[in-house]
Amino acid sequence: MKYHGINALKDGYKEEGEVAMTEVMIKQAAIDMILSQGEKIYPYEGCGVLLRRTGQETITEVIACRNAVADKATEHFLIDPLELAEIEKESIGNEYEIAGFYHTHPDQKAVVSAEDGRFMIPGMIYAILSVYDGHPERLRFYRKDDPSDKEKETGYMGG
Amino acid sequence: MSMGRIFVSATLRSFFGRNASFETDHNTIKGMLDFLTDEYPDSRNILFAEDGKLRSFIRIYVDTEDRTDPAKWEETVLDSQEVLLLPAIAGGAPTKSIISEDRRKETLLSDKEVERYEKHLLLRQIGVKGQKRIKAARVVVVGAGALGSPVIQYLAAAGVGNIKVIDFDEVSINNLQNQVLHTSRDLDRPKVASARDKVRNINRDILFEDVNLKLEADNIADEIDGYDLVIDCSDNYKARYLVNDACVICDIPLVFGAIYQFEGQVSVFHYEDGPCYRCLFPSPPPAGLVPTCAEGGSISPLAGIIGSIQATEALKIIMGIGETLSGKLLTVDSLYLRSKIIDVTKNEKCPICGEHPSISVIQDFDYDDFCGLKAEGDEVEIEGVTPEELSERIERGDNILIIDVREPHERAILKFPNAVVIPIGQLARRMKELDPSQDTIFICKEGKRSVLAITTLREAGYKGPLYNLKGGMDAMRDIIFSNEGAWL
Repeated sequence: MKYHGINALKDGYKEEGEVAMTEVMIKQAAIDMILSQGEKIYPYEGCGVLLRRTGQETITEVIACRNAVADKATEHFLIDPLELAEIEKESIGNEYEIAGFYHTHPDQKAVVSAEDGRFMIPGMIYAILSVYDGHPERLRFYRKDDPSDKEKETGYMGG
Repeated sequence: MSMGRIFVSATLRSFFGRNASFETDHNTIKGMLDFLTDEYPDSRNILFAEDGKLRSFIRIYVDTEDRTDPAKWEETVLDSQEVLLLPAIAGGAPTKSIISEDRRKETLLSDKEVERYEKHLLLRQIGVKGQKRIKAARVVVVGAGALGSPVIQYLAAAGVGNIKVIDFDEVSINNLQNQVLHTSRDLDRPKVASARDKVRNINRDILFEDVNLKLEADNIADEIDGYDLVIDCSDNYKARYLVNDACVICDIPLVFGAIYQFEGQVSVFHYEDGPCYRCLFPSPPPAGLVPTCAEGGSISPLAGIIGSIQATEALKIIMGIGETLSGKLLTVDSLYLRSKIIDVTKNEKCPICGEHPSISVIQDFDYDDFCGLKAEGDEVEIEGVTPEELSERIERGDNILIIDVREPHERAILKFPNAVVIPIGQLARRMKELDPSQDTIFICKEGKRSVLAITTLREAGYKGPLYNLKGGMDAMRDIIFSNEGAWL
């Protein structure tokens, strides 16, 4: 099985067998929504929630959130905790659950910054999309198992 | 009985037995958190870091009010209110290189350079891109002394394309103990000339600029403006404040380093919205209280440790990789080999990098006054004697009292045989040992702490004649007495 590559993935993914990566399953429709949000919101950082059906593995939907950072929104993002609580209580219901979060890096690599790392909740999936000159370039997924650990990149498969 | 209700975000529920809410008989956040971590011991590691602080990604609300601050954890939560344990989903862009993409792309590596920097190119975080940034970088090193020695040599070896070194001093024999850039053959040469030779031997492709100049408020901006990075390898407070202010005003990041005896410090200032030197140290210690490095001494390899860390920080900033010491101060105690990193926060009221800076031009600030370096006798009437005058009076057999305020280890290097030893801290108490009818002369290493000694005595109400040995023991060295050997 090959890692799913989207057209925007410039330097491709690690060859199969090179590193044993935990795979994240995600629907193409969800990927497309992240890409289009990253493109539209450029040069600011966009962010949102990754959803899957409760008990299922594949991420099927995303909910775009407001970037609550007032200034410097080109370099930082924040999802208002109360907005997230609202989404949890009102929009998601029992049918879906939060698998993780995504945000974009305008004109920056799709890697976990030191600040990103400090805010990662263990067990959650974090997707980062690099957007150069307004064009989505690379989407990468990361996860942390223990709060003190360094995050690990995880491969992903489209479906 | 009150009932405290807690809502746990779905994103955190796996650490609390997948429960969405709890009802407790606690009515403070503190009590509720204790309850949760007692019920679910593993959650303690999720909520709190090793240092006991709440982790960055946790937010605690009471209804719509943010009460994440532990100072608010003892406030009573009403029955009608709900405590929300929520995640902060946040982050920031990764560190950017201070070398623009355009400048990197314009820079090419020759075959010879690819071979020379192979060990950099093999590192995933550096590679060809990083090496090109290093080559494109223009760096100013202030001071070619103890810290400058490793910094200049490592920057040259690493391939920094343009290095400017500023120093006004010449190489003296006591520099050779820890200024490994200079050798016995360089004695009495300008330090920058010695630095130029060493850099040429390491790497001829580097554009090296040597500036034999004492930095002042009116010349520093011209020297550093347009460069990418400044590395402070100076050995005194005046230079540190001057370099810091110039970097903030010229908007250049600064890698700071300092050594004293067995201890060293490193930090990064005015970088990525981080604090500056003045945020950390709003004012210097009183003049004379802390001897400068030249007076205080330091163990030989300490400059190598601290300078090497400065050079590493500089390269990381140039390439935009890793995590820097911006907003942090590293201290290294080489005597007991302990190191720690303390957080340094940006001071909103900082006079130079705060929200309403009061300093906007480097010239406007009197550094000599600020650092207590005003020429002796400017404010308080302090009379001085020159080494020649003192030696004449000693030769004549005048009835004078000489007080040595130096530290024991300093006296061990060079004794002043007929001097009475009184540390500055004991002066006021031991005032009775002085005779107001007799001329009393104070000596220290450089003639600065002796001024402090006289000021201290005057403040304590001493009325007798007090004199300061100008230039201290350092200036006394060249005096030869007729009965040489009996004295110095």
